[in-house]
Amino acid sequence: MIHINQLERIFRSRLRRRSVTAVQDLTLSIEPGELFGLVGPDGAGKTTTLRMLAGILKPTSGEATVNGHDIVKEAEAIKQELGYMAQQFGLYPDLTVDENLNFICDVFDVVGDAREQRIQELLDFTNLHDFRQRRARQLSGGMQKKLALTAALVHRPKLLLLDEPTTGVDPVARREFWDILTELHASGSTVIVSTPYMDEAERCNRVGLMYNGRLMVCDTPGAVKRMLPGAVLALRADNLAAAERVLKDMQQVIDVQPYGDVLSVIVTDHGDSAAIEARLSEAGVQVESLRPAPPRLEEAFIYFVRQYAANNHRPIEEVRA
Amino acid sequence: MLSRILNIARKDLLHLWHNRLLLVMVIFGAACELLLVGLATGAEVDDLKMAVLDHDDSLTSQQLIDALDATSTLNLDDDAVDVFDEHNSRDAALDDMFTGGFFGSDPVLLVEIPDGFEDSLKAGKQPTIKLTVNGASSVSAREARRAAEDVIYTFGAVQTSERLAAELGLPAPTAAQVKQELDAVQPDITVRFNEELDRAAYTTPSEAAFVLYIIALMVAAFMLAREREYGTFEQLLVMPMRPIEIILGKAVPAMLIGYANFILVLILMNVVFDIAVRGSLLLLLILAMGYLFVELGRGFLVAMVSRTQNQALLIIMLMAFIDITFSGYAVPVESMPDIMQVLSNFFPIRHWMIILRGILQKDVGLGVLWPQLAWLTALGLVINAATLWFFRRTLGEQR
Repeated sequence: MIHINQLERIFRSRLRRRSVTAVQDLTLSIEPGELFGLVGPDGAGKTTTLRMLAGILKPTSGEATVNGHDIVKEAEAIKQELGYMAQQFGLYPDLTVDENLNFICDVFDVVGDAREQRIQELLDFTNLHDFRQRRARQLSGGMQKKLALTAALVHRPKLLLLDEPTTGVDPVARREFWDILTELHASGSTVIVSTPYMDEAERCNRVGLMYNGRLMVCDTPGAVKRMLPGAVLALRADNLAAAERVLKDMQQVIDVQPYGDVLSVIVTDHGDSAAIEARLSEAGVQVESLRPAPPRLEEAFIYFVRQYAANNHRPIEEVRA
Repeated sequence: MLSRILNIARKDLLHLWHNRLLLVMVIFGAACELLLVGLATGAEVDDLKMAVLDHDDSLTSQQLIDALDATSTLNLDDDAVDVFDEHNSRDAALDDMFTGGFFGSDPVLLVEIPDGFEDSLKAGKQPTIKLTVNGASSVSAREARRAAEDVIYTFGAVQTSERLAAELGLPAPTAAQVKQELDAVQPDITVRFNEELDRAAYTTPSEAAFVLYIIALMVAAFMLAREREYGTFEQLLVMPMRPIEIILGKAVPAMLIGYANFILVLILMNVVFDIAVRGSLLLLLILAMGYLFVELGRGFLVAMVSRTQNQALLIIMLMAFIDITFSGYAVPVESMPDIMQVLSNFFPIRHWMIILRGILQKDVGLGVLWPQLAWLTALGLVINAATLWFFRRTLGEQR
């Protein structure tokens, strides 16, 4: 479906003679029917990647094909088969839901009975039936996202690119939105979604972790978690800050990450817990509990980012090999 | 291609339909403007306020004041004696009088008749009448001055004739006789194109020209700038549409509205101000279409360099001041410095103004207007090429 080879995009500012490398050395293949998550913090290069794939941003170097069409030379062909949802609400706030959808249908030449049928079907799917005459401006943030998704689906695109579709949306609406995406995935659509949220990444069949314009790791969420070396221990203690300081210097400890009132301690082996407990009590930290925990994607991600920075930004696989 | 252009056009009209206030303003604003300007400027400048300070207080000085008051231009407001009594110096009194201290509103003209005016006139000397004109309003100042000079000149002539007749022992001529003698050589004036020299006949065609100008510029700039402001432009780009189709799609509503306005204004001019199109209406409408294209290009160019509608509005306001200056509406281009006369050629509205006046009032055709048409064509090509280039570049930054 998508083949990306050594893709790179550099933004140059004409005025300040400054340049920013948004994406570099990106090589990736995505198969038809995947629900692929592009995961990374703000500024990782997710949006730039998606816009290049959508054919609205030219790469500085490298190449990519979508459905066999070159993203530079055959951008128009890609657009015919593409549903794209920008991070910012891309529909017209002063038009009603129906008017917005009709405009998109006009453009994609979805006409006559087929149009009404398709709109009915999609509105059932996204639960927007009661709001057809409402101006887009007056919809809630979550409904706007659903409307944008509906609009991206009217012409039955082969590929759906969603740029942070749930940013700024409440948890319930987020869940609803992801239920829709999961259904789309189940029905065989190819979906690429970018997200800064790890819980959303867990719902993808494959994730690519991006950081600083590079793809660090790309695999299934389970495999990515397994790439985390050693084991994870969840620590509850009276003084987590002190515990973190102490543990960081221990040889058996690979990484320490605070999550609220729990400290995730990544150790070389589960058996290290006795040594850790001893070291903590020596330092005067009262341990409430120290248990093995299943690794989470977030822990893996943070670990990779730290490794990545320490290894001068070489991809994780390269370092391991 | 055509259907995609129409899709964009239909959507843009829908935006206008949803914004009723804007719609009403866009359609009827121009017509209201035309009516206001036409009615306000159609009237003659008259009944200008005149103040008098009569130091002589004689029969002759009273006759002069009556003669001034009898003109339609000047209207004796009241004696200025009070103001002068209140102040020690003449300068202070004048300052007070012309800055609102005089009965609430300033006089346009102050007439001062010196002491001994009658006597010196009788003695064959040449007394002076001091006229102080309020130049803050240049049009009324000029009119008041012209009227006063006229009256004083004739008055002096009548007085002198009477004195001379008395000296020679002849019967005194009547004022009417003197005036007739003064008009010994009669000019026979023919005014062409605006036979009554009606001011409305000058201002309303200019307004008609401005209507097309501002509507084309604003609608084009706003329709494109709003897409950029709302972030919907990106959505247009990911849809199968070429840049030229987006631009043309946005040009259609602007042309429709501009054209509808222009025709409405032409009808109003004919019905309300009795100003008909003397030349070929068809030629006028075709050239209007050409001019629309030039201004639409500029409107899109404005939208390309601005990120929001407000930014576009500010740029357009700035442009409008310059454009209107060079249009020759307020100041004839012929009386501008040479360099500005040359520059004026690069402003499309200058040529459009000449074309409109030419066809509307002078009934001339392309035989006369071809230089303007050539200029407009050249400017249109350059401007629209620049617009397309800018559009591609903006896309290039995104692409």
